Amino acid sequence: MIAIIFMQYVLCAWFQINSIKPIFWDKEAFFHILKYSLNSFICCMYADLLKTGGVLMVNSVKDFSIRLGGMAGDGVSSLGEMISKASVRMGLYTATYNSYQSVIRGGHVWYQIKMGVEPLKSYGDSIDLLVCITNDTLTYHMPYLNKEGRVLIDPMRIDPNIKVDESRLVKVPFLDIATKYSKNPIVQNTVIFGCVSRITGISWEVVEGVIRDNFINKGDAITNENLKASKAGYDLILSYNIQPIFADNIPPKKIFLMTGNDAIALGAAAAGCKFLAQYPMTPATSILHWLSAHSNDLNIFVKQTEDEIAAINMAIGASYAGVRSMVATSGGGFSLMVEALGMAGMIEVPLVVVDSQRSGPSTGLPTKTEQADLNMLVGASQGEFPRIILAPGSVEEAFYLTQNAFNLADRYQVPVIIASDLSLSERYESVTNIKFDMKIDRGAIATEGEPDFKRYEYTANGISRRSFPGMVGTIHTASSDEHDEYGKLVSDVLAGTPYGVSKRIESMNKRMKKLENFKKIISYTPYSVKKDNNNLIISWGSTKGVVREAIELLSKANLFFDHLHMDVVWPINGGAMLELLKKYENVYMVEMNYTGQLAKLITSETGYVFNHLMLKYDGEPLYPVEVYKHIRKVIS
Amino acid sequence: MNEIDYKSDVKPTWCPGCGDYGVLNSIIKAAKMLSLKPENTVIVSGIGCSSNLPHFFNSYSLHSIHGRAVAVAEGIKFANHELNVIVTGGDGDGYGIGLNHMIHAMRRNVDITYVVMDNEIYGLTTGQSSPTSMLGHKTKSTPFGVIETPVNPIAQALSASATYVARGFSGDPGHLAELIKGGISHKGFALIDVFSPCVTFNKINTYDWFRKNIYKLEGNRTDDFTEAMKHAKETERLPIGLFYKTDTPTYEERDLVLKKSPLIKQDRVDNNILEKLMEEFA
Ligand SMILES: Cc1ncc(C[n+]2csc(CCOP(=O)(O)OP(=O)(O)O)c2C)c(N)n1
Ligand code: SF4
Ligand SMILES: [Mg+2]
Repeated sequence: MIAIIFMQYVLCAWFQINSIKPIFWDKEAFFHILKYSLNSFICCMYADLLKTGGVLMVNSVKDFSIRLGGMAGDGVSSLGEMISKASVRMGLYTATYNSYQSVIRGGHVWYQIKMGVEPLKSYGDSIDLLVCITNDTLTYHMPYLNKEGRVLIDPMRIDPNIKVDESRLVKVPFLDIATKYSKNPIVQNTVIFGCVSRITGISWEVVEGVIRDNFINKGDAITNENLKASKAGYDLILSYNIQPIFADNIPPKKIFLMTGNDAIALGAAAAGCKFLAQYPMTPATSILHWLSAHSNDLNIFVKQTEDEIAAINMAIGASYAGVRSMVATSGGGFSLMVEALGMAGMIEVPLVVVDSQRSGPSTGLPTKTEQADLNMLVGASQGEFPRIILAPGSVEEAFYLTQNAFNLADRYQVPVIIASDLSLSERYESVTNIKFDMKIDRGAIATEGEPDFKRYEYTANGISRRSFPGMVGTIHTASSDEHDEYGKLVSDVLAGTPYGVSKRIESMNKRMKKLENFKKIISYTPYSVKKDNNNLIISWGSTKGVVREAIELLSKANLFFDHLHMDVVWPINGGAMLELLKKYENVYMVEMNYTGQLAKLITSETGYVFNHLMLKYDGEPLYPVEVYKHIRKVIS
Repeated sequence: MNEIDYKSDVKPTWCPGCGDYGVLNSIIKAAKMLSLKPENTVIVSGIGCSSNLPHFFNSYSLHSIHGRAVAVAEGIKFANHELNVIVTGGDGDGYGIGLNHMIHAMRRNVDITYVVMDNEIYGLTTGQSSPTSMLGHKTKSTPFGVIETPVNPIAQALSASATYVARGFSGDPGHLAELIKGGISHKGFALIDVFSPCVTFNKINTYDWFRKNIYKLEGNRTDDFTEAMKHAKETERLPIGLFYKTDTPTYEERDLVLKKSPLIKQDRVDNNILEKLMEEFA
């Protein structure tokens, strides 16, 4: 036994020194490694003989979850992003959740990363490895650590008052190592990055690539000190003789890592969107960032405006002039856009509006998630006009639904709202299926020079042809006042006259008719784990994957549920919906709000009354276990 | 095209004698002088009596919502900067609810021409005070007289870096037409504030009142900001004419994307560019 351990150590030390050579080869580093190798020797013996300390017990697994905790300003999210990037480059599917606060420094922030060899449904809710950058990470997250889970911690930081089982700790002096290579203490993040990579089985080549990309604009000196620090962390774990979580023979695949907002921005670009006007507001802001950064490559005009009112009015102007236009905001900004939304409805200008919801009311919890804007989105603006509301369930869905949104907006000449939320907009997810082949449909457009052009012609389906300034012979006024087929006012001297009254009715009917056909083709096909199921869960938007994962958990307990994820939230095809609901004995609605907004909408369209609502409004993301527990409790 | 060809087939609905008739005529005169093509011209307005103007002019137009015309017009100009974009509206629309947009459009120097029919009253809503109503003016909403200092549109525009700042009087459509023509020809944001009496609800600032209280700027140095500001601040008699004009690059000339060509003429990029961008996510 002793002999085996000794051989292990020799191999381990040799490998370390060898792999370090290309990075640095100085005496100090050599002794540093030697010192840690010695530590590791002791550690190995201790570990293997006593089965405690340092060595993770998790063997080759399907998935693995890491939670990083620290303070705002510690760089927790950039560390999380580096780990996630490395993970996808290793060929692992990856999903994250970034829990942060509305402060620039201080407080407590954490970042969840789940990696897996098979596609993941969500960021999950377990912790296999808890990385403590600050003490309170231990206090806050220890209760959620898996039985087999371990804590990666700087021994200098452990608060003696916090009682933890020593055997679960993997101790690495992050800060000590960092200060060896850099004056900047933030470099401890790259030390941690090295440690986590080695623990999970991410190769040094991948780590090095990610670090080089990450510091590309910071110069060679900074890149090199980060590489050295990270390698030291990596090698230290190597010396602890921890068996990597994922084997190194993961088949290579092309996996991309992006956030929901990246996917929306990319989807807009793919759809030929030419115009984004936005005022910064969490959690929609990164759409502005991404499209600004790429506006010149993509030939997309991006404008940060004086407020959200200007943003939507500009976008309406641009759309009227003929280019595909989008605005993006959160609930507060949407509130400011409401009047103009009605104008888009009235003058029948296509428009895509992204509402990335956060916890309200009012400023609410600016960095926390919720799905409580639905009532507003359905009813926003005075009077009645048709609109479409889409709610993507994953990052990949966000990419495709955004493209769809532009086509629907043009086809029906209505505002199309994409209801995202913080959880979807800001989480990173691995995506494998991004194709740029969706057909662009600009809808009905007039031909130049036609006699007697009626911009708002009363047609059978309510949809009339658009014309753009610059086109000869199709001049018209688009008016937010009520108008006739030509766009002429019936709101002032004609109001209340027999002509005015009849045109008012016809114009209302024309507009309201536009979505009738669309509504009819909306179908509801649940995801099903078992035939002839009696139980159904309905959810909408960002929680799709979490609910699917909960359904998997329930199946394991012999409880079978179908799942309807609603990606088209509005309009509702009442007939089709009722038909579906009637097939089930139990229907559960899962929503991230207080009042069950979608449930009420469905009730209003079908008469069906929901008996089981699972509502969550604490601002925190939905977890599979929560759904699982909730349903088990209801059933028992 | 003759002046009559710039009139649409919709008859103006303003009260007889309303100042806005003079403004419409001046815009038509300016359009004729510049041979504007109706299909390449867009008039944008907000809400108010004055904001009904686009319906009476033969061109593309967007009669938008109260206070937002300038923002809508910026969007149109950004989408297709080959169009002539003119905004028309009232003092409430532009200097009250919409002032924020005006200031930002000015500092952007977007190439649009903004004609404000300033009657110092809210006409369409039947006579409340407006941001330009004079101190002491008794209106339906200020029965004891206005106690707020009025907005000074000219000084406001100058300090917001507008590059063409003028004021006209609808009782002098020839003079006004020249100012509007200058504004349309000017590359950059042009404000033309127009004294345009509301004969129904403003019994103080009447045609006669204006005739007595205005004078024409002549021989002033329009490239001198300080002089322009001095004239803007005059209270004894109110100057009309061109206060200030300067040539600075427009937003469209400075923006990297718009510089290439009008946005509407730029096609969606090829898939290979999008695919290359994907590498950033790998
Ligand atoms: C958001 C909103 N608030 C209020 C109104 C009512 N409203 C219509 S026109 C107007 C004021 C018009 O004054 P001005 O812009 O000076 O135009 P005028 O009628 O004097 O030409 C108001 C307050 C409105 N249409 N929209
Ligand atoms: S109310 Fe005044 S501003 Fe309106 S149309 Fe009549 S005169 Fe003109
Ligand atoms: Mg007025």
